[in-house]
Amino acid sequence: MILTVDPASALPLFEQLVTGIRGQIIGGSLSAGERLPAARELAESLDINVHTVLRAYQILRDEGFLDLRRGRGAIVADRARDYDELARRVAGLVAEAQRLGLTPAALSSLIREAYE
Amino acid sequence: MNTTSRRREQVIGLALPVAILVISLAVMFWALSDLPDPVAVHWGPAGTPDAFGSPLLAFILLPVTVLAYLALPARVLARAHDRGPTANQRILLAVGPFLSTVLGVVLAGGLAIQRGLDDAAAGPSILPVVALAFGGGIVVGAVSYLLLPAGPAVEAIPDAADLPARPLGVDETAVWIRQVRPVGAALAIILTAGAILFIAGVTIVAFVQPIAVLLFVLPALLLVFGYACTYWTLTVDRHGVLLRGALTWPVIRIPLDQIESARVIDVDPLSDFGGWGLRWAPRTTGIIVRRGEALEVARRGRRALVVTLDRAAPGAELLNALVLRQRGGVR
Repeated sequence: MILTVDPASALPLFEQLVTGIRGQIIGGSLSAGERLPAARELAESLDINVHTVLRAYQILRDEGFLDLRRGRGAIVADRARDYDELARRVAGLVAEAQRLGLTPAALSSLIREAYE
Repeated sequence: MNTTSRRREQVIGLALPVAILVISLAVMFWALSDLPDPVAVHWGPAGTPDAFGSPLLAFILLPVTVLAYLALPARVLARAHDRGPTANQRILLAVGPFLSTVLGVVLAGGLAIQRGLDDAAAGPSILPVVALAFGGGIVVGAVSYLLLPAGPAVEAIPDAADLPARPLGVDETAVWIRQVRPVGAALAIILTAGAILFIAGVTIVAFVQPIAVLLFVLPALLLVFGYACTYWTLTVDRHGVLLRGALTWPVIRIPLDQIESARVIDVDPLSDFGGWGLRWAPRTTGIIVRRGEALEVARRGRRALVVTLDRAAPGAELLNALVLRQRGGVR
């Protein structure tokens, strides 16, 4: 697993973490049952506050990507299994948006609208 | 690696032990025509014969053992090592002539001294033969080692600036965490089987002779140590490299300011490190649990660290970026 956070980015730190971890679960480089580092260790490595990491872990738990158990840390949830098809379609979607000259913001607002 | 030194490795590592094997077998065939029946096949600590049988076993044991061992040097030679053999590879190559001499002299000598005897029990002591075998083996092995070409004393350490690095913002922090573990289930099965046999052994011994359970303390420690050195967690971050064994021990830490560069290399456990686990090779510490891709972390004036794991490139690239950024910051 590789994670980067950039305090200079407009995106809040916890969101950068969420995006990074979620992306790797969907992309398949983090698989079900794999244990993530303890929040304290990850915060130390990335030089950020431990609450930022905990917040990111909680959001990922609410989204169903992680299981958080007291004393056992964060584990990639079983539910997080078959995102191959989704990952493939997202790649196709992005390629099509690029062909049409759509910005990432425009594409994500289209997706958000489709949800509502 | 030029062809003359490659040829010399082949002659010493393979041809020499085979030649010694052939000569030993020839001596054994020569002795065969005039041996007592049965022959002495085992000698007591005083050197006198204490077991008798057919000479056939010696004819099988010698070639099978020597040829089985030679698979190892053959593998070392089949693998390109452009900078000449490492000290570890030289030892693997030189053990061939050593092994061939020791076994050849003991087995051929053991038969030759019985030539012309009516009763093998009246045969002379084996001790001079054994002394000759080990003395000769050590001399042949040592000379072989010295005659083998040596790799360069100090290998140039690549500079991080010349290697692929991940783009990293000025304030950006990054962490790369990976599990280091063997491929497939082979090692896990061996360790589990070892553990089961061990527990069974302890249980049986505990019933028969409770005090003897103490004999199992050392094997138990070895088993635990073997497990701890087989599964690791590798972390690369702003502090450098951290490796933690499965039982949160052993811990290996390399601070970022000691690191010169990192790159991906290809590792063959047997010929590069002489085996698996936590290994020490010349100028390199290895955490070797599989063959193939490995992350090599070079340090100036200190031992390099090699950790076997697949998809190591992102880790090497991150480490190079961190090294370069720190260097920039220091200046």
